[in-house]
Amino acid sequence: MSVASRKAFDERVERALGDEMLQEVIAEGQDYMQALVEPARAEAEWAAAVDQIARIRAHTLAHLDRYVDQFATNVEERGGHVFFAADAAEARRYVSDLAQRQRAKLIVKSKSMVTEEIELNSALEAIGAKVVETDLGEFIVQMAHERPFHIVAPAIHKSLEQIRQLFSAAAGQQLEADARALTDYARGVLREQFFAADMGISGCNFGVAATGSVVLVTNEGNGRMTTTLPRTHVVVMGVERLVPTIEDLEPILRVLPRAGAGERITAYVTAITGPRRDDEADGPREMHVVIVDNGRSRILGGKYEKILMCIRCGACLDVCPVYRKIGGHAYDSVYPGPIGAVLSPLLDGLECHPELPFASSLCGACTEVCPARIPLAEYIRELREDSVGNGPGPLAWRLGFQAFAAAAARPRLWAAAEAVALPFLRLMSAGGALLNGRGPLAAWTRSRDFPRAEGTSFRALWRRGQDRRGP
Amino acid sequence: MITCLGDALFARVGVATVQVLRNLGVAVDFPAAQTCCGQPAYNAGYRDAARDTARAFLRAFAGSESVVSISGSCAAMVREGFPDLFAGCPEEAAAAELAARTYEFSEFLVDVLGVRELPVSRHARVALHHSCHTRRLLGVVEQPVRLVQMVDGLEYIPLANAEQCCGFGGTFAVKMPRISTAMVDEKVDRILETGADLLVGLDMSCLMNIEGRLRRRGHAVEVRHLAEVLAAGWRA
Amino acid sequence: MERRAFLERLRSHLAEEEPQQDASAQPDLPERRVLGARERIDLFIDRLRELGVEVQVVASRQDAKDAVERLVGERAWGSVACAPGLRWPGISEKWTAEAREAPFGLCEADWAVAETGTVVVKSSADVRRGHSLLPPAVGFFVSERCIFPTVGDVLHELAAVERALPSCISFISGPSNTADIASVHVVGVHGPREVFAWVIAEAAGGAVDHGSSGHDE
Repeated sequence: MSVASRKAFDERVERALGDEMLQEVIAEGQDYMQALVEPARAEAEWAAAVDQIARIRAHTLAHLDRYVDQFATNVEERGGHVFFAADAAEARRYVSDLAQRQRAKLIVKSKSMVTEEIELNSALEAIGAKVVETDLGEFIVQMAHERPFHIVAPAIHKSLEQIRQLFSAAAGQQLEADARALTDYARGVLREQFFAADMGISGCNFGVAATGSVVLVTNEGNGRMTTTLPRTHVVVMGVERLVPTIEDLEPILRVLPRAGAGERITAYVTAITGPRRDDEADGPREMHVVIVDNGRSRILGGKYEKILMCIRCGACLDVCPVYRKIGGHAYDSVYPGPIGAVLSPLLDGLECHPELPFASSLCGACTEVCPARIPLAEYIRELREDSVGNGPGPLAWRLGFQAFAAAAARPRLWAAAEAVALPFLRLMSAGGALLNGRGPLAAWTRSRDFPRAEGTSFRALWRRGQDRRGP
Repeated sequence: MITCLGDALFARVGVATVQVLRNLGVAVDFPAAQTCCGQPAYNAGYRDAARDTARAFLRAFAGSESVVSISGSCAAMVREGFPDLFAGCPEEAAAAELAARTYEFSEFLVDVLGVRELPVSRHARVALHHSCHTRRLLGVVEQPVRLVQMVDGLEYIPLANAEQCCGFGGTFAVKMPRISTAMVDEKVDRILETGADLLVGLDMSCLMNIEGRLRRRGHAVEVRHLAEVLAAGWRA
Repeated sequence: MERRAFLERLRSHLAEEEPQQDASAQPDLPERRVLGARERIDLFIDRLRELGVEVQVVASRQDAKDAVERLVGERAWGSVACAPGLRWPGISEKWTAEAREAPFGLCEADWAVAETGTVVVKSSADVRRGHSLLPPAVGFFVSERCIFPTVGDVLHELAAVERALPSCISFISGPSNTADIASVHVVGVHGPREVFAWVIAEAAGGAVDHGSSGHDE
């Protein structure tokens, strides 16, 4: 953990902690989602669906090459084009070359985390295209030049007034401080864009290998507009986002809308198989599917493999007590929260996100709620092992734990150390020296009192008791 | 299992635990070779140090019929952490065997001893902190509630957002103190909202964190391990 | 990257294994509630209403058409967008195939799901995607016989025709909506704001009972 990196992290944390409105919004959002998800999780059908999801996804990953191959073949058979992008740069290049060839000036996008991961928008803007995010939350953060705050609700950190000001500035007139009015404004603006756009870029919640279908799970309708109106449809998807057959979607559709949005089902589940047929009157004429690796194959077959089973529901963010305090931006990564704390270091390298594995109390709430049965807390802990094993890391911690272990393996040494340290500790705590927020325990005592040390160890008391009672 | 923290800083909790167990007719021994289960090193990512520590722990309890821990998270370390730590090692079988006879205190009383009533009195409004590892890794949720309800005179008030972490998290508390403090602040707020004059818990690490913040914020809520309340209120 | 190299890179990280049988959705879910025909239809209607859909149960297709004509008249809608095959004399003056400017779109549901209040529409030469998407108000004729108990049941039907899947299948459950602005729930975003459904009774002989699931073969 470099000093500069840690300092920047601390600053982001401070900003979040000091923002009262933000604290309220995040806590309310979490409580709201938990109230919707908890009862569903208690149902027998949920547990059965979660089991199935884990099995289907594990099976898919175990044979991923085969399913990618099958998926690509089927997409092509239905008239789509498939591009295999080894990394972000290749993916960006393919899409921007395509846009350039097609002279695409206006591009509409529906929500796709992987396009943020590969930084697609800036590549398209660099060739002179205008890229418009159409998911309402993404539309808002795009206008504000910010990263999404949450996987499912990108603009949850923005107040009504903040959004009103943003939209009013763009509209050139003062809009009402009313969610309905602001939504209508966005609908009006974006409707024009949908009809005028040359290209629509979407993500893909799941690809179906057996049919070459791309499935989108959405509520607003912008996903459907993006993939229906422009003449070219580009799908960008992570290589792991596949299921073998259409029926495999069932447990996922039972769980994803509930875990992600507290709903029984989203307003739209759309399965797109190839571009429009020759005899159809609407739908894109061309469809391109960009399958992105960008570090995922490295995770495959390794100890963190289960992270690829993520269905991007966001449930982990909705229960994480750390996210509750620091919010999405503090993570400084495309994916925030527990999923981000694992995925980002794995995709980008630990050195890019040195704080993330340590920004967790390992409470296990994420593991408990994850509908894909990813052992998130365990992975966070393991990333710590990778982190301290490799890097220099604070020498003091390593030596400290080694000394501790040496003493712990030698009970007599341990007892002797206690006999010296504990009375000293008692003296310090009695005199208030341990309360003053300075010295080696400052990180604790700056905000918390240290317990009044009793001065005697349990083992010493036990021994005394034994001696008194005799053998 | 007295735990390293219990041994060094909270001997009174160990004493109370022994008392309660003896009152219930259990023959209690303290194998003096025990020191630490290795959880702090394990959670901080220092696997080798954790394993060395845990190995000594295995030896210390090799001869014990049952191991009762005053800390839920330490019991969880033995039950969930040791299988990972010793996977593929010569100690793997011994670790699994130890895990099968290791219990958290309230779990031992309710599930193993079958305690259904207690000759204990204490008059107070009480809130209960479950601690994350006890709840999620051991699945111990009902047991401490039932024990609290067996105490004559205790008025139990459930905490709102009870499943939320208090912010201790081992080295997290000192590595990420600002976040940790924000988390414990919320826990303290929830406790104060209950109007409880007593907070009871199963893990001194969590309780130390919560009490430290309560005091710093100037509140006098009494904080006790469940064993202390049972021992102190035991009617002769 | 070239396809073969891409796939090889994936393969290189995987264990050498005999391809297992597909672990696809197996019928070992807990006993799904067996829904009788009446129960299924009632549940469907309840769920539609929960989603804010205006539902009317009608005895015949003619009644459904009459209801649409009444609605179009009440709202003074200038045009109705739907597939040419769905058009009938009562709306032919207002009929359009192009949904972009139409205030109302009408579709025939190919399937429906009782548990979730969903209607399912396949695209085709005649049925444009836009009919159920572009107008601010859309309506669906849902024949009782096409109402299945769960989403899984409809997916099962789709799996049976997988080689001949249409280019676009939409599972539509209620109007478009969002809570992205300050967590306030707003109905009607980019998709339709109002949704209507006319549930058409079976001809004499009763509704077809689809039972619990089609997975027992």
